[in-house]
Amino acid sequence: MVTLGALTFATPWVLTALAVLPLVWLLLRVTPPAARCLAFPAIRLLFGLTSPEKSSARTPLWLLLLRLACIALLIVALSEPVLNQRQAMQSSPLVVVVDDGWAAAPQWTQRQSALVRVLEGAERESRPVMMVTTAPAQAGTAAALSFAPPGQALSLARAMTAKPWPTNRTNVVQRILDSDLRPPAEALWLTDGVASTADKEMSEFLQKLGRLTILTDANRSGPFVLGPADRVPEGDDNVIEVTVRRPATPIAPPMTTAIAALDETGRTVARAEANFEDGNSVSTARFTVPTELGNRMARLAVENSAGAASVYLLDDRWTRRPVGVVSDNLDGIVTPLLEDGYYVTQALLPYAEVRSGTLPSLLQRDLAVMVLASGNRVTAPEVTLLEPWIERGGVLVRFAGSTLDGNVDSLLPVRLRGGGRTFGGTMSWTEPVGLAPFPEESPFAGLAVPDDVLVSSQVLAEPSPGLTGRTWARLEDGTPLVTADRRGQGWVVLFHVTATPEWSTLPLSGVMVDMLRRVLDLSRGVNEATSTLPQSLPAREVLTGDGQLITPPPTVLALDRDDIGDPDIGPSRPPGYYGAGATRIAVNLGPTIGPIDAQGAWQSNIAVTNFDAVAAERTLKPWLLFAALVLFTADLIVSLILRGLLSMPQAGRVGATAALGLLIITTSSYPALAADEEVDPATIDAVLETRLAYVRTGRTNIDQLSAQGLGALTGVLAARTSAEMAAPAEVDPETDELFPYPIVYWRIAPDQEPPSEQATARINDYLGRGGTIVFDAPNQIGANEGDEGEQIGQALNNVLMHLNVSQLMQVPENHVLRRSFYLLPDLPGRYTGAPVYVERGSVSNDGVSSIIIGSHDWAAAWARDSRGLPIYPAVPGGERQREWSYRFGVNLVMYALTGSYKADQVHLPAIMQRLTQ
Amino acid sequence: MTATAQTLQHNAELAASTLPPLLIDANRVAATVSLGSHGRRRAGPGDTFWQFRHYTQSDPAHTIDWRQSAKFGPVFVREREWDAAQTGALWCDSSPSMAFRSSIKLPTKAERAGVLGLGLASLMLQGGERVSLLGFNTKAASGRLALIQMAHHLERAITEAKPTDLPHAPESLPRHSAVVLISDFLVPIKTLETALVSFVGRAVHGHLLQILDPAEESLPYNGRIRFQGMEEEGQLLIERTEDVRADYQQRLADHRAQLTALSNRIGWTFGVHHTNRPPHTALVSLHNRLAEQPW
Repeated sequence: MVTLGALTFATPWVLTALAVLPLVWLLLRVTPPAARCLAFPAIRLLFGLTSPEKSSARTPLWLLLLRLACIALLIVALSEPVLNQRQAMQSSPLVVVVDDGWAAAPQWTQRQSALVRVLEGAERESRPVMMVTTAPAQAGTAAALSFAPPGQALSLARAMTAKPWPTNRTNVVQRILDSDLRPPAEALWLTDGVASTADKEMSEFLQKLGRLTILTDANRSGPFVLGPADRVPEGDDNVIEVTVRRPATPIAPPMTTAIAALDETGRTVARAEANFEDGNSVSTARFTVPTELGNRMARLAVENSAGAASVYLLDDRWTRRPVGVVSDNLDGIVTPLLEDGYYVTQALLPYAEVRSGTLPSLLQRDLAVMVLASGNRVTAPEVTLLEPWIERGGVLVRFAGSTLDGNVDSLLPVRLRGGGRTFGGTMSWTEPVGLAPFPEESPFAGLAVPDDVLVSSQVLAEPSPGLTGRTWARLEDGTPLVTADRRGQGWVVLFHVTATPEWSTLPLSGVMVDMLRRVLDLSRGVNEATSTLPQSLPAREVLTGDGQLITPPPTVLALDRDDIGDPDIGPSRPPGYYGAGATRIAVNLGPTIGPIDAQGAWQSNIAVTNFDAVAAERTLKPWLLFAALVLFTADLIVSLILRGLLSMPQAGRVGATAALGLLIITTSSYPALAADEEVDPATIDAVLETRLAYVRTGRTNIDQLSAQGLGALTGVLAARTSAEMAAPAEVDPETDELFPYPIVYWRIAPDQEPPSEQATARINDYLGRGGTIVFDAPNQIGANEGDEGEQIGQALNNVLMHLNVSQLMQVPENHVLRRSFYLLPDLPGRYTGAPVYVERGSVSNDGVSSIIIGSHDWAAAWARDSRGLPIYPAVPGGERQREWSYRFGVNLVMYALTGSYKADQVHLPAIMQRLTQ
Repeated sequence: MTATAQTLQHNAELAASTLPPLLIDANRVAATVSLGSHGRRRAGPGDTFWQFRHYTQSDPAHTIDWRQSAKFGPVFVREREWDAAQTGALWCDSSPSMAFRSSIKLPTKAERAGVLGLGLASLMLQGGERVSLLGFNTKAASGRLALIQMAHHLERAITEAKPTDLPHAPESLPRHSAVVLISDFLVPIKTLETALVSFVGRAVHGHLLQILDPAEESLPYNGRIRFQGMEEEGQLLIERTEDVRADYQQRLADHRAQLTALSNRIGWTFGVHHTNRPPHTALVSLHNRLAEQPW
């Protein structure tokens, strides 16, 4: 190894080959370039001619230099030069100790590239390497330490990630002693900068092996540890306080760190700053957010600092306050404004998850608040269900009602008098009464009292000594309006009016929303009581070392219920979310980390350097080889030109090709895109142009009639409207796609088979996505002989039976179909007078009927032969009726193409008038 | 397009193409020339109407045009234009040395020779003459079909580019025919002389047209070049081609002077054409030269 300034050559003896360069120079100089070959007819005239000077053909100087440079580059590349190589003990084994715990995560990429550089250096020098990681390995992958070839260690290092758990340096010394290490050896320690009790012992041991170099981050400001966090109720807003810590050193400078609160999708909901005082290692960030924003927060994270310790996961205890509104409605149809629970649900929806259902079904899941809006009494079995729930912290909110007469059950905060009180009725002198200011000790304290809340009926509490303490809201005359009683950890709250505006205007008022929110804030998180949790909580999602949530690997063990407060975070239990079903418990790394101290000064005989110094090391061999290859290619092209085997433009092409080839060699290629799915060419044709279509019936005469009819109609459309369509297509729902066609004409044949299951699905899909099918079932007397008309009717029924058809109606006078282009009094075809049916108010397609059923044999009226003459007579109206039938055809296609646009146009004058006002 | 369709199309094109590409070129060139040249304007045996004249006693009775006579009174005889056919013999060199071009923008010498030969043949056939192609063992023929046949022969010969000797006068060649030889004449002058001797005794009017590539004229190459003969003459390495350029041009001029002298000696004419020049000029001068000849 020879060092030349910043350059170090691994195999310097190769450089002696540079001595042969002058020889090559001479050789190239003497050898003339190869002659170019030329076929020439007049060669007879050339024979005997010689040029006077023989030795004038020489390799040009620039080409000579090009070739010499190519050879020189090759020689230098083979001597394996390295820029900025770290000085190392030669040929001794290398012990690399890597801290890969949570504290290493913030600067992991720098750490990893430094590690890779070190190992690449070892690979050049063929030194055996022993890699020691201080964080416990993933369960099941731990192995005894041993020396490995550097290539193997290199691939390990490239795949290495920071672990979301703490390092354990105490057993490193013992592990190295147990291995096959024989001193002397050079040791490297990539430390994360967080002190531990074993540091001194470890560094001394490593130093004694031979030589110890410690690699640290050059300019680190972390790692930051987040947590614990706490919710502090403060007025209307939610205040969340989270503790931020950094390694404690006496010289820590003052600094500010930003903490972001993110929602489930990773968007920032709120942002707070933690200010570290000079020399202080603990700070607090305060998030002040409205409840609805607070409920969206899913995690807190230190900005610009990756790592599991810099993430604090929030779980259901933070966000979810599910409210159950008891409803006896089993059919699920909610009648707005009249339903008992409607006002409560509307008031709470923005702030909480509101569920509706019967009382037992609601209690099957976790609830923070339950609302009994109906004012009905609670039956004995329900009481036995509710009481334990309230004891555990549930809040029961009840409203009065006509049936809540006296002390009907035990779940009332106060004793009630029998019979209610009514103000301002027809038989009463009194006026409806407003609200009094809320008492100081009430949770509603501070809410503004609106003067538009008037109570006309209420249930009355029996006077008792404790009544004042239990009253949260009063009327102006002092009678309690809201009373509450603490039961265990929970509450029973009674509104002395109904949940509907029947007894008071309270449900209509904004103060009701605020009151319910205060009640909501009273409730505790649904998972507060851990005793209700299952004993064993399997991992849902776990954090990686850099703070990303992933599906847990199979080695992760379940969390015991009793360990939630103090989880033992390690390889088998990484931080993350635990629990199954509705349960989701966040296990955070931050709070479990004890005091963190920065590593102090090292002994004087230990070399300390930083990652950047190592990362500056650069192997020059590949670059030199590449440059040599480029020069060689250029030389090749130039030689070919000089020999006349390549003309100048050809040379340009070859040069471009060679450059491209080199580019492909040096960059990775992308996999070719998979071939497109095969599409039926007929479908492509159909998609490229708009066209009408008819359903193939299998009867030649009917299919021909449909084709002629639609062909003539297409001509009429092109002549009279801007709908210029291609020739009509024949489709078979059994095999063809229908979606390319805006409208499909289906003339029913007497022996029409009902469509198969596949075809039915296709037709229903077509109808559901906005397609239109016109069924034409001519069954007039005289239209067909015998009972064929009847057969056609039956066949139509068979077809329609399989399709998704909503209720039908006759085309009304003002239907869009009658005025989408022409104004049509009736809808004639070859025949007229029979009813035409459309769907009644179809909601799915913007009010456009997807089915039109008639029996006027429209195609027969439209059909013209090759000379353009009508084929069938129109009865009874003759040619005038045929004109009307064309107009109907135009309307039909316009209806299919434009939908309800014309119906909207009808309202245009009204809209314009409103806009101008 | 599938393989069968391609084959079909190819066959169809083959069947439809009565004119080889060479002939199309030649016809185009000839069309621009024929405007200025005319046939023999006198009465004689032929098909085309020439004039009516009064009946003389020497005229056979069947020559009387009764219709014309009835119209005007005197007896008229219908005379036709004389179209006595002469014979032209053409030779286009198609040896390998003719398959040379110095740039892909130029035609090969053989192609240019073919175009000129066929163009001349086309002009002569339009004039009602009979034309034969030397070296193919064909008889002199007239009419459009003969032209197409000649085109096919020439085209095949140019594609094959087989070494060929200079032509000798065939037995069937009539006296006083016109003979045109088109070649680069890069052969020893002796060889050419022996070949031409056979024509001399036949009292034919001859013309030599030398076709040369511009590169053969100027030798525009530089540097070290290994020249390769195209007719197995061997090869020659020249170190600095630019040094021998003047000598080469001198030799070429000498050779051409010898050719001129030879043709003058036997009463023939000699012309030079370069492939970078348009073919029309060569064709016009060739045609005029033939037209000047007393037939």
